[in-house]
Amino acid sequence: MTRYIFRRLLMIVPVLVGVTFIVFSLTYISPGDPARMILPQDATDADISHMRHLMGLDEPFLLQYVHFLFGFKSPSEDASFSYKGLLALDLGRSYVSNRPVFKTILERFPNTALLAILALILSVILSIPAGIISATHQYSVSDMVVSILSLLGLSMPAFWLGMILIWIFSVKLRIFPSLANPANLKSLVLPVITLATMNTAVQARMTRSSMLEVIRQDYIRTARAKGLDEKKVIRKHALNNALIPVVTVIGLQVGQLLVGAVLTETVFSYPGIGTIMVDAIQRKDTPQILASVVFVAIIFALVNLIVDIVYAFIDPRIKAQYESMSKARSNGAARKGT
Amino acid sequence: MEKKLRTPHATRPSARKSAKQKTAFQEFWRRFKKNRLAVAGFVIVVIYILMAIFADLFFSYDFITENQISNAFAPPLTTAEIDLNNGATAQHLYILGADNFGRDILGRIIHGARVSMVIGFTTIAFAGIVGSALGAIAGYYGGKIESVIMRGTDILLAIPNILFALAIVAALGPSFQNLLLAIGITSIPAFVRLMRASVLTLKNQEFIEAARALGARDFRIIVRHIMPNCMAPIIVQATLGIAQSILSATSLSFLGLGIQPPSPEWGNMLSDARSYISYAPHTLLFPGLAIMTVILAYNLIGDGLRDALDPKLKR
Amino acid sequence: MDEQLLSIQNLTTQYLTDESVIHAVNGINLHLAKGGSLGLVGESGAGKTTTAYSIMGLLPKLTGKITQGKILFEGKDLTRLPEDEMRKIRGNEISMIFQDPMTSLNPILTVGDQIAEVLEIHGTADTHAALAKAGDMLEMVGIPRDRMHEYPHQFSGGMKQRVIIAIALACNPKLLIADEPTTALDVTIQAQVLRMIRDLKVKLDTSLILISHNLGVVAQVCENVAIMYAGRIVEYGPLREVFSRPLHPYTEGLLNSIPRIEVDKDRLSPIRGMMPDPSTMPHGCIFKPRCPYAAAACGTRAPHITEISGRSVMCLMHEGVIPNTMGTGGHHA
Repeated sequence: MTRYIFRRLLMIVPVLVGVTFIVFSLTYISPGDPARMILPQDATDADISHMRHLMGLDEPFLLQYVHFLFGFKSPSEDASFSYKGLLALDLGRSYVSNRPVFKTILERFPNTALLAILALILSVILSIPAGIISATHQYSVSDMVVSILSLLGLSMPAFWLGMILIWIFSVKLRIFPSLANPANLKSLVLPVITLATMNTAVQARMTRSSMLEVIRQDYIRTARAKGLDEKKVIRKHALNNALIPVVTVIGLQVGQLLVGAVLTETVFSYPGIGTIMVDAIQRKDTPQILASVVFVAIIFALVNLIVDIVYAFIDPRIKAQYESMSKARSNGAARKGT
Repeated sequence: MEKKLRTPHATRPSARKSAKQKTAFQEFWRRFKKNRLAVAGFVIVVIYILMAIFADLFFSYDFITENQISNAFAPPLTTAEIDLNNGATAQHLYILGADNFGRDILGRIIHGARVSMVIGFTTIAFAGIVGSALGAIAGYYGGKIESVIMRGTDILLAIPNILFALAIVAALGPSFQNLLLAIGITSIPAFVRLMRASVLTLKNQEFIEAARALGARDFRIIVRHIMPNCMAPIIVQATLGIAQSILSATSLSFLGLGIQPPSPEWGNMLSDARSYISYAPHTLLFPGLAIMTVILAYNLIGDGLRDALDPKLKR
Repeated sequence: MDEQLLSIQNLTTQYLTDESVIHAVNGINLHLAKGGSLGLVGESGAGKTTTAYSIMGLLPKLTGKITQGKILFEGKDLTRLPEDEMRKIRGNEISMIFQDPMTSLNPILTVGDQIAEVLEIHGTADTHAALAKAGDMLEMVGIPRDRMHEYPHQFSGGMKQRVIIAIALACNPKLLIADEPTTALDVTIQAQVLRMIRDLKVKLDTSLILISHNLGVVAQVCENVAIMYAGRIVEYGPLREVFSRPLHPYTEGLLNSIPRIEVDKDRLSPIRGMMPDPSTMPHGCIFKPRCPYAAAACGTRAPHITEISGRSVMCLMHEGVIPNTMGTGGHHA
């Protein structure tokens, strides 16, 4: 198993390199010139090209990417132009606030994570039972209710839902505040519902279809033929099998939650990574954009990695596949040794 | 158990194309028609498409982009005086009310439909063609070219859709073309994977071997024999993809990174409405409903198509 | 006469689909004595599996329905038994072996757990004893007991079918229904599994219904045989007699389509045509469209069951309505 985890960790490296490369290239080709951005309006062309040199922007593209990964030592005495690179979580300072970009990100990331985790918990609690009931009572009223609600949830833009919730619960009923911040749990209710809705819908639909698929399987018939009562057939034989694909979807959803937070945070003016990103984009704060996009992309990839590993633990077929693979390999090695 | 579905599968390979495929399509259409929700979705989409095409017949573009400040926030079903360009005034019925600049919300929704439909269709047409072609190549040729394509796809998939679109728009600046590009590119990987998987299952089947034995060239085999047999999942993905792409576009516009005001777009209408939630909730309600119904409609069609194309998935 | 274990009377089972009603089983009668063995033979779609599901109470809940008839098992009518009573019988007194061993075991439970489960359900043993018994059962079907902690994907098809047999026999049932138990297996494995079923049947004194489309398989195991066609039993009788002197043209057709070494015949004579669509049954005799002996009367008059010295057959030739020309090969020969 450790071998599998190790292999999986290795596999993620090229993906991360690719992701960072794409995001970096996008910033590189973007029309704005960072040197001109930080200099005053009346700067001369000479000032600008000098600044470009100090910032390392006159280097060839690939070398700049290497700087981006491993750090850049500016020829300027001003230490704020140097940075230690992505691997050291240092991509320099924001053009707007002049704070190290990752400092802001790391400060605010727990807020986003809190929102995402709460939304994840809520969506799992709601969606899995709903999907199971829907599938085991196919064509019943509860199946219809679950199906319709999940279709609506799937079709509702989260930012609109958030504003509708504000209108109802903040403006009309005055139950929850319209602005959210992590210190006030009550203020998190609306954003968590907003963020969880799409996930709940997706997971409920997934659980339902997966469950419907599984209860048609021959081994469910075998379980029934043993004289097992229907509840236990579902709980012991159908559920675990049906949840295997659902776990994958939930894993992918964790990433989506982090990203969906961009919109939800904007609606509720919540101080998370999403608002950093949107602010940075609107202010053309290139280092901050680059750092936050890359950061979220890396977190997304890591979450998917964890899901894959969890997946292997719950499905003995995958586990066995890897165990037999590594066994075959070590046998091969042993034979070579003799 | 003994119940057999004797229906010909929509993707059945057949050289005797005409007769067989016609019945397969009829069978598919029969099943699709029986799904009332899917038909409802289809009707809604047709209505939106007609709205998009004939938007100018309902409201002129100038009218819905020009401010009528005196009528700002007029509630639904108010009749108010509007300034015409020639200095004259006229009475106008605001069916869904007016926004913060006194612009007709219904008119902006109808013209917004045009923007959303164009975005949905062009991005998915682009992603569908590029993605299917890449997927077919990867699946058919295998080897190095496959590795390159699939690793590229993996990397694209490793960046969440909206985030990637956000990054593209941030880099290239918010404009209609960049929005199309951003959403188009992020929609590609799903098609690559689907197409590759279909091609892999098809490529070693006998009728392909037969075509190869008869000396058909690769291009011909892919285009004539393989592609038509992979269409079912691609069509489903395209339908759901349109919904996704409209949603992404409105999201980006809501963040101020897509279509810029005064151009009418549902997302930027909601962005404006955000500041007036307590004051004029109708400015919030209707554009959102417009987005929701159209996405819902595409999802219904997508579900209906999937069930109709693959009866196994249903009961 | 022997004591009856199972007696099926006028059983009619239908599937309701959106478009039509599928008449899967149409008023069949079957009897099985204690310790007896019955082969149920027919083409796929003849209603064999539906009959088995009707006995087990495993028809699909939404679509399958027994509309008429009784299934008496030790005198109890299974069609009227409430579900919780039926559950006590399933897996305990009546067990079933399914056609496809590859998919009939839960992929994420060990085989030991899956065998032990049936013992626990029926209160035969507590968890610990059940696992020990599961090991015994594995050994009985010829699998080393230390493999009980392995998962189904670690077993071959034949081994999986043995595991399924072990599950079915764990509670020592009075009746075992084996639905095409060897069809999905390799030919060499088929014989082993079949021999095992036959030996265990004798050893555990279980009655057996063996369902197969293959007369050869049934011939190796069963005393009596029922030939099913389009949801009806067209012929029933002791296996040897049915094989040596078929009464129904369909049985004759089935026998003629088996390749035999000892008979010098240039070619096999398969039965022409296809079974009627079970949602639209023809008038008169259901076999008429394919019958080489068919006469005009067969198109209008449905045959009844005729008893002939301990055997029964459903054909107008034996009701004296049309002349019996069996053995002549009919008008297609």
